[in-house]
Amino acid sequence: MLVDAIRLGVGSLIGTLIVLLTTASAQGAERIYLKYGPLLFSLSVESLATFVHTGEITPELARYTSQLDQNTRQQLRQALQQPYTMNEVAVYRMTEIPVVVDFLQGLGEVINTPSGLNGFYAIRSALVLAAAEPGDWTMMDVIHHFPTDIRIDVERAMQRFPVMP
Amino acid sequence: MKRRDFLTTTVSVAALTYLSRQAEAWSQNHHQLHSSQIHRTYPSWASRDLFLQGINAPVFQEVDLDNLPVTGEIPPDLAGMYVRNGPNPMFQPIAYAYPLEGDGMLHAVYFEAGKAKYRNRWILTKGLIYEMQAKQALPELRFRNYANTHIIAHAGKLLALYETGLPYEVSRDLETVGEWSFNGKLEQAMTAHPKLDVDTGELHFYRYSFFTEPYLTYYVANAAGEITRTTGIELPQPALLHDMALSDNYAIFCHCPLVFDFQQAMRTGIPLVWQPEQGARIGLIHRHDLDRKPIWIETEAFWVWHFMNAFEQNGTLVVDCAYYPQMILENTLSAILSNRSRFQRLTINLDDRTITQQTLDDRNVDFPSLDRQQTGKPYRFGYMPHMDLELIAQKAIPNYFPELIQYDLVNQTSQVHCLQPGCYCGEATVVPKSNATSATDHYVLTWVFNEITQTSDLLILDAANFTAAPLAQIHLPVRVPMGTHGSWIVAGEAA
Repeated sequence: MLVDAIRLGVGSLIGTLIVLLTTASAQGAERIYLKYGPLLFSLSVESLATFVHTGEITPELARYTSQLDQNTRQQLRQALQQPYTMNEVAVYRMTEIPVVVDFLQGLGEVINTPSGLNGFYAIRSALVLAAAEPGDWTMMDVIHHFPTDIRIDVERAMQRFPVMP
Repeated sequence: MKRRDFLTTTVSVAALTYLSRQAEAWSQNHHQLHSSQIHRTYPSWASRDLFLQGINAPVFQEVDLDNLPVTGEIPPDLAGMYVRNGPNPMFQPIAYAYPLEGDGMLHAVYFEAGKAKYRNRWILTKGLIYEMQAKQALPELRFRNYANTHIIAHAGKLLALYETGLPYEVSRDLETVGEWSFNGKLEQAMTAHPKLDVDTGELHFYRYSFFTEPYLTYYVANAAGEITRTTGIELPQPALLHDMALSDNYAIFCHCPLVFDFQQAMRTGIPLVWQPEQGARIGLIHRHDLDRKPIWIETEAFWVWHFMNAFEQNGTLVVDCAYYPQMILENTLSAILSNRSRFQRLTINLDDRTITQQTLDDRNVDFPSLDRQQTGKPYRFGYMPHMDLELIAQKAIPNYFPELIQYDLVNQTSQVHCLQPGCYCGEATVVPKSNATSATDHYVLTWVFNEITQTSDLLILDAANFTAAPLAQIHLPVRVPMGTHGSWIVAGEAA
């Protein structure tokens, strides 16, 4: 449903974006670049994955998470490891719905390829590939399946998707 | 209301309700059609959702019915097809947000030489085909393109419309052809309420977006179906725009404060929120001067689903609509009863850009219609069903309209066609007489549901004698659920 799509996307937002907010990462995507005005920060996806899986904050990640309180860090971790069960066929069908396409294109204006292209196709393919993995899948899997490194436009993200605390 | 009247009304409604339930139970077993009349039967189901009960309940048969019995006489000059769309979910939904959900079903009556035949068909959208394959509603396909809101003819095509999806082309015999993107020039969606300029054959329409700028895009397609204009319109915030109006020089949009709110969507799951403190803005986009910037005029908050018409006169722009002082978008009976509308005229002074307002009728009305030849021009007659909130409160089910109102905008009068007890109408569709010489020379068509027999009739009223018995009442042995919008398609207008 629309709201689920929004939540899913915002999971991805919160996953990626929140992630963004605080971090960045990479592999499929190996690095996440956070563009903030003229500034560009980066984070390895590996650091993010370590945090999600073990709760450990690597020195690299600490540069971003030191600004966050414990509660927000916990929300971020939860968002990235929240399990989804929808299979790849269902995910693909959902991403064909016009209003969801509109949403993903809006999201793609925030989550870009490294060169700044709209991330729509990359997000869609990463969602489908993550959903095709055996068993449950998470936004961390989506990040892993992102076909390129990820660039997030933080200012635009906060303006378009004001979901951050 | 006097106590006695109240009691009489209450007892009558209770009796009717009882009778209709008995009739419903009876009729579900006794509407026997000949097998040759049934195109396909699908498994039926029942729901407790307000918008899937009573007059709103879906039907599960696609049928072809010839030689329909008629009370009165079908006017022999009526040649063409009346087709109406509406949500009719094939599979029991997991949850249901009327009218945004529900597979579109078309109901068509074909007129030729004083005879009528009926056909109904689901529109086979991509999402419905996926569900037919799965034999159930699929949760990931909610809010897909249901093609369930309107059907129009343009550039030789019949197009079933849904405001967050591309039009679905259907044939005259209601077979689904597929999505129509104006040769790839239209992305993702178009409004379900485009406006046809009958003089040029141009179709004026728009698309709104919640997530990508511009949040509003205005299009014009020529009579051949080629898009000739695409104009992005800046909105400060994404919003739902259900309808537009058209005058000689302007395309008219109302940016009402039912706005898309991402935080609210995340918090409550309802993405649209009523924010009256923002007020409303009326945008005038010049049709002919492409370089001219939009004119935006601010006014107090209101909501509009549908415009009756707009026209320019003596330096003013007149906009008539079903006007809601507030809109709470929830599918509960209390929200439905709190959204009171009225027929309102907004007169915009094009020099000083001020607005004056006049209530033309304070009855709760919507689903406006008029002779489409009058679109954008000074007009005399318009129609709306009276959405009697007292009756709806008594029935505790929405969409029971016991009478149809004819407005004479020139003389500022109205007349009511009262339906028989237990009978309820939908939107009216105006059909000009073939030899029309005056504004009264038209027929008014509407579907009427009879809750006693659990069947539907198509009524043909004479505009010149509006309160009288119908010229013809075409009886169906089946029910046509309350739907949304339809069109009269003249012979040869669509393939």
